[in-house]
Amino acid sequence: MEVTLKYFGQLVDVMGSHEEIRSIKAQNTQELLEHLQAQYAISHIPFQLAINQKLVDAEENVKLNEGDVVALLPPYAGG
Amino acid sequence: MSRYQRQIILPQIGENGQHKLAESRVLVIGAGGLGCALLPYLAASGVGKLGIVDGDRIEESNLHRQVLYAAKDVGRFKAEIAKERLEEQNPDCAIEVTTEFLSGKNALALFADFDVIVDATDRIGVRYLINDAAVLTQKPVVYGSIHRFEGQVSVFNYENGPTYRCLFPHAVEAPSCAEAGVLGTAVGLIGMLQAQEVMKIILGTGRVLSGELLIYNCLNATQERFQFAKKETPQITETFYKKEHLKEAIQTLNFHPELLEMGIFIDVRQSDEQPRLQMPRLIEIPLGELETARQQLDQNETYYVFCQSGKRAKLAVEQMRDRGFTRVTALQEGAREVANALRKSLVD
Repeated sequence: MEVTLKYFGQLVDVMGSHEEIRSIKAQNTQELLEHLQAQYAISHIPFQLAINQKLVDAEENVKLNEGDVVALLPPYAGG
Repeated sequence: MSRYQRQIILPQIGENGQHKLAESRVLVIGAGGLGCALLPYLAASGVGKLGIVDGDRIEESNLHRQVLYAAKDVGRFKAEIAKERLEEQNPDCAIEVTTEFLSGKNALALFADFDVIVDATDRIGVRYLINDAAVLTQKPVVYGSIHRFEGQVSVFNYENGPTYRCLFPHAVEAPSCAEAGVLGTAVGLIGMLQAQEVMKIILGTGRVLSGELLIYNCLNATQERFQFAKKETPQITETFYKKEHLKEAIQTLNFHPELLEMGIFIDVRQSDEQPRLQMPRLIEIPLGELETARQQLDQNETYYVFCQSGKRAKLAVEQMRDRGFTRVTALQEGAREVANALRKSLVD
């Protein structure tokens, strides 16, 4: 299925863009995370997932649907 | 009152709103980029009392974005200079400064005297402290933070709403402005968004950004909002606060060959980290495996813990003390220095 991935903070540098549409085999958030972590060096960056502008509980595995917009949100430190 | 006349004529403010501002007490943690942006507007609007907490002194590299300070102020306390400037700006505003950093020890007493807390700091760790102290003292927190050209804004613990821990449950450090770089206008914008939330909370007008994270991208002029819900764990109680924020500093010990006779050494590094040490009584347990491995350790034994730099050793000691080990100490030195000291003692 196709989903839109949005990256924020430090993740923009690692992923190389702010946003992309990606064709994925993953059916849920857990599989999506595994897919991304296998391809990119992101395991040192903490982040939360939001699907269609709603935060997903980190302990929950949520089903993904065609056309979902998934945002990867790290905390920022600066001020 | 002609000073405030242009805002008093706003239907959302009026004489009543101006009175609320005069009665309000706002505590700003951090007088850096965010603080410098929001403080003058809070003071100018007629906020009755402003508290500023910052133990930092002004450096030249702050001046491009911390616009309350001038070149001649370099070396002085940020909070004191901010107070001078803001008092000139609006003598109606009482300003109370604390020229030390917020800590587990001073946070609760400081928060007690204010109505709204503003998180304008630059480290993740202190954001959890602000959050937990605000929950215990029942104060709303207006949060702002920056990564390069992106800023996050939200309001936590507003009318018992979600908190920073509901948004980011796990504390891990992220790059600061000093590490990642920052432009003054970006941090200024985010500070201004925070000041606006403070106003809304005091005046009871508009929709407060509670349960929502706003991310503003200054390069693209785009913004997004994300909703998040309140989580009931961890429960922020006095006991939790004590454990998280009032831990006694872990004492470290300098390595000395005589220690070899006095206790067992634990190397908490990963097995591929060099150099590996040869000692008569040495156990190798990577930090991540300590929790399961500790069942084979004796709570009454004396342990000396080391790693590569000393950081993980302290974490390991904290973990073991929490589990009832009392005679466990972190070594000041990393493995390389311990190895050198060992080699030297053999030569002597």
